Amino acid sequence: MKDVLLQVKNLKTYFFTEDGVVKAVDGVNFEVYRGETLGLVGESGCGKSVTSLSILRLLDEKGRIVDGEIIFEGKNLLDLSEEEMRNIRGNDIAMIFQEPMVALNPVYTVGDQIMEAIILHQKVGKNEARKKAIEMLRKVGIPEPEKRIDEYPHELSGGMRQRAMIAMALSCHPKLLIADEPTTALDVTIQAQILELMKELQKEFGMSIIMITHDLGVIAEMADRVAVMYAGKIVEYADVKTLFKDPKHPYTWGLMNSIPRLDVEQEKLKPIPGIVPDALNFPPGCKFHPRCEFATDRCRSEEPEIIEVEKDHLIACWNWEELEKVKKIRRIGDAV
Amino acid sequence: MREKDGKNRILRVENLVKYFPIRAGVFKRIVAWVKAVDGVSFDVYEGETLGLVGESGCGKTTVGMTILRLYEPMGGKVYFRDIDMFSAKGERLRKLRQKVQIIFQDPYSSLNPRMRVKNIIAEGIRTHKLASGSELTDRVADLLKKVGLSPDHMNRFPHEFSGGQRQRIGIARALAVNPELIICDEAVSALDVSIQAQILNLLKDLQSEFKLTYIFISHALNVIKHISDKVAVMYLGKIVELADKKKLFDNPLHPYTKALMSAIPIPDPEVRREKIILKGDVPSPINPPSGCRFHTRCPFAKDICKEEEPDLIEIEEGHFVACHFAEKF
Repeated sequence: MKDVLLQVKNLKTYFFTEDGVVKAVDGVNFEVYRGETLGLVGESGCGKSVTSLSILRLLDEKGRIVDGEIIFEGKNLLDLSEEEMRNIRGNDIAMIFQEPMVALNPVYTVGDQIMEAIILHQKVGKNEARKKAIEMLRKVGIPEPEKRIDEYPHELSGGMRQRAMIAMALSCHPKLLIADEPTTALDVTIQAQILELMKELQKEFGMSIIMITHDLGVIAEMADRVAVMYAGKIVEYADVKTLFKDPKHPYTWGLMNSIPRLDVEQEKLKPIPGIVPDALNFPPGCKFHPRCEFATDRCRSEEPEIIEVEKDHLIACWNWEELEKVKKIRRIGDAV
Repeated sequence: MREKDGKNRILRVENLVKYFPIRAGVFKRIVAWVKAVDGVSFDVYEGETLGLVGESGCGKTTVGMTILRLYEPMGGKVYFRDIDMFSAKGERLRKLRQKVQIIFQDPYSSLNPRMRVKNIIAEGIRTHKLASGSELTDRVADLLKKVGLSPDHMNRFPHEFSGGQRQRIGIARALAVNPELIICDEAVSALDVSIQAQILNLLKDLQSEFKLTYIFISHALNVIKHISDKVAVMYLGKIVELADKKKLFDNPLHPYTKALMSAIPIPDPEVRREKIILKGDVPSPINPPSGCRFHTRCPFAKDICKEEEPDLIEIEEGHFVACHFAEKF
């Protein structure tokens, strides 16, 4: 039996805006095992980032967790006081973001910011904290860490800033690292460096990672298991190999057909028709039905629950068996 | 107009140079130059797509903007068919700008938020006096249909559309003046993958319908591979490799191209490749490294690479590489 570190149960996070209620996350269930990487993938507005902010309880004032539980090492994080939550953040669960300039404070040196976390959570003195910070900067591959520790974020390049943010996040050896599009703003050669670094550090520290991204390539490379999100729900949940070899939800299948591939010849792509629905105005039934070539009357009126259709392979779809028939004729990447 | 394999050359770029000044002090004196594009040459043939790929700061966008004279060039020549684009003035320049259009990356900032879609698309048609009155309205309706929008959308404002739809409006605007060459500057980079695929297919369909030529600028090698016939790889203001798509992807010769290709995550967990992970960052274009600009990150760099800048040489037919050791790889 694998050891569950985090379990998210029926999470519902809504935003109460002037225009109405946005159901950004609407009944999401998943778990993260110790030492593994769970990939959370989906397009803009699918709720993947809100899910991660909900885990850390970092929502803005309009956002509220209206239902669900977030069980971390047996404790429901939603029952903790703000004080207790502060102890969890940074110490047990850390987060890195897409844009390091947002997460790093521009008026403090990189060292100050890493040392602050270490002093706060590890109860050590300033000299000791500085030593640990330099050590951490060295680990994330920043050259001349003794010098760089006294530089300000703007003096570092994009890739170096991302490394500094990872150093800050990992300085207290968290059990869970939430990485929200950590390489999306970076060039591919720098992305390759950062992904490699994250894998090495995971091996060294044994932490779990929730990897949030829109990039199926990054998911294939990093994740052990994957949850595919669409319009506030998880529509497919499986281990990474199964998901890529045998996607069962029409949305996952459609996504995989949409990406231009370096390793496969394609004359024409097969895009998903239409656009992502407006979060203030979701369609009834399955939220994917207006874009789905397999939609039936049932899909238009009744919302499917996520169920296990094969061992450890869950999907939320009424008509997945239709896709299975099509998959026998048409493989991913085939010309249409 | 020279022909090659029966195809007409539509654009020739010769030794294009564009530096941007960095000013400082009270008198705003020029203290340094950003060498964004530093001697770039290529030809584009009618009906084909040339992909221009590279990482941020390599100069690919500057190439596109300078060809259109949206930035004033500092050196080099650009010929559209046989017309010298940089010496063209007045009416001749206007005519050229009708023939060469651009689609931008950000569908939010590239459309005027105060203008109705109809006027956004019609502006160019009016400027170039291609249609007026009801003929103009019909033309706009037709263009909207061509890019997959409804003619009913004509009187709406840009904010009423999603990112993908706005990009369609940008495409309709470019098409409106019957261009022959369209520069697509990261035209699908801001879009979600399901929408990106729609726009890529649309661009391909329009290309065959209107016999368009594209210069497709992107950082995404997979998108470039999908849409291009020929590909130029740029690094720090220079083209380091230029070849037909198939040659380039089957047999990349420049160490930078190889690293770039191996760095892209493949959406298949069963594929495990040897990755070439480059050390360090891209150096600043203000003070690019001596010799070969890639030598500071190149795993194969020798002494000569630090001293002598390699020329872009034809290694095999139609395959150009700027590397002292290209033949050895």
